[in-house]
Amino acid sequence: MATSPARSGPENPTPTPAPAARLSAGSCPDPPRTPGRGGRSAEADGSGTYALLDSVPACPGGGAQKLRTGLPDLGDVRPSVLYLRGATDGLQVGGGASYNHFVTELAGGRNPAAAIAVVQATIDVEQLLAWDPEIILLGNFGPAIPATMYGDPVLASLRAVRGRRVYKVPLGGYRWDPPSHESPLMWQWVAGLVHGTGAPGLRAAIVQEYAFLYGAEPTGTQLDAILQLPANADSAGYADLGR
Amino acid sequence: MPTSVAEPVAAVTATRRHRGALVALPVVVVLVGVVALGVGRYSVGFDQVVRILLGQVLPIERTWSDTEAAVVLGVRLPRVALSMLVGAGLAVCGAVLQAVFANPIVSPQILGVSSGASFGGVLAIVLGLGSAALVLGSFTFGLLAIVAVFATSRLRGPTPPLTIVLSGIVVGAFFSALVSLLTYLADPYDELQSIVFWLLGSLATATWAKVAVAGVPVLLGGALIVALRWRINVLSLGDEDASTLGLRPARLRWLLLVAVAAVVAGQVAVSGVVGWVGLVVPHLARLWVGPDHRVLVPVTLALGAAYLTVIDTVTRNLGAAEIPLGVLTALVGAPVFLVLLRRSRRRMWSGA
Repeated sequence: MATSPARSGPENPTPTPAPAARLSAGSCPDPPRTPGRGGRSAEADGSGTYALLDSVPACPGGGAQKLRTGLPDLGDVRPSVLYLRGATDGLQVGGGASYNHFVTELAGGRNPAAAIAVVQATIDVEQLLAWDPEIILLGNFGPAIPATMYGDPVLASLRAVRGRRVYKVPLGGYRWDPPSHESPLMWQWVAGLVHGTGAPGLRAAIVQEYAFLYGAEPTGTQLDAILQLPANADSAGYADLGR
Repeated sequence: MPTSVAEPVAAVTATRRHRGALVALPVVVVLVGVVALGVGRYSVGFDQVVRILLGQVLPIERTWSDTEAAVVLGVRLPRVALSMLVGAGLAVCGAVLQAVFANPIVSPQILGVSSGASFGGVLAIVLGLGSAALVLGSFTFGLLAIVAVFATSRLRGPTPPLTIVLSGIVVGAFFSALVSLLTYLADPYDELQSIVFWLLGSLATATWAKVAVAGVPVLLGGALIVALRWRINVLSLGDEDASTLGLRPARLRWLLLVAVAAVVAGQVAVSGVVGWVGLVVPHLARLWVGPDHRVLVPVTLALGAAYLTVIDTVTRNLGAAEIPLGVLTALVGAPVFLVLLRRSRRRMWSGA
């Protein structure tokens, strides 16, 4: 962790170093595994994305190390973070082989669905209650919003509902839940929620990266829309997130 | 002398067996329901489950947490109610179709009714209509499928069983193609997700609203079938005999087919296409109580309710991730059906 990983050192002669070398350094979690059975290429593409982003000098990335600096050390008490794809007609979780699992672990959280060794699985409400996650992320593969969960009497005892820690995942140039060129922003967003720091500087980072990626700087209103502020208005610590 | 005695003795044993089945089955259904309410991924002690249930009607001291009450009453109870409605409905539809078509190997799925109903439902989803339209669409196209099968297989008098099955497969394939067309045209980021999830069929998201959606058509259609149960016996004698006995077979058949379409529509609307229940359960019931529909219809209802509740309880308890319901009904149903077919090919239909 002390020195940044060599970008083109003699000990690392391969043109595109495996992201594992970069991300698994120190206390960082395991890199995303290339799914063995019927896995989708998105995962493989995802790991390529980190390598690519890290190698672009203008990018605010720098991989996991930059993400980790300035975050409090949670030790062994990592909060459980469940990713749901966002459907209103079923609970589809990101299992242990999913990219979302990787993001959760990267940001310092714990995925309660890790034991399900697939990309995506359907669970029932009871399983959700049994896992009792502290944070729930609602993906952009469906219209589900935190208010739906806050209003469901069956879910009233859930830790994430009581603590108002259900969040709709942002949606910028692309959904932030699958791997994409906007992934480093997602990592910062998740890390801010997991550590309770509110991801300071995230809004500025979005402006900076969008200028690089798209050649345009989003306005304040557009940033609110990207970060799903209307949907997340009732969720804990969201008003000041990223500022 | 022995021959003249044999007849009443057989009749008495049959009656005894009928009575036994009609008394035992409701008990079995209630037991299955209570056990299903007692098990799940969220562990609630069985004594607590019983106390929670009794606490709804009796003033018992509250020893359970809010979450435990929510799990039993808000999650498991609607799910068990739904599996019972769906199982009973599918099973009785199978029994009725087998009688109306005078064919032992038909069921809502084989005759294409389920495919027709799913097309109607998918159409409602694509057009963005509500759940009432979904049931109505399922009903309309389920009925259309059943009428198409009936019209093609009855063109020239009675037809061999395989012709009916073939008509059903063709009609089913046609509606499946239409469903494929709609999924191809559907917006992949919006409608497609809900279509695919809906078609897969699951009781994982059972709510009281869904119980109502399935309950109204299933109970109405089921009640009609129960009311007509002795007429089904007459109908299975053939149209000429039925007419001679003072029935109007065409009208009766229509009534029954409409009832079947309603029940299948209600079932498909909440749980997608679930196969094999309508084929296996009526045969099990027939092996037990014989082909008399006065007894067979209620027995099929109860047996179907218990059967699907057992299957659904297994799907939600095997692992953290749910197995689709239709997978398990087929895995259990197909081998059971083969064994039944092999063992009792003659006995099953000798008295029908």
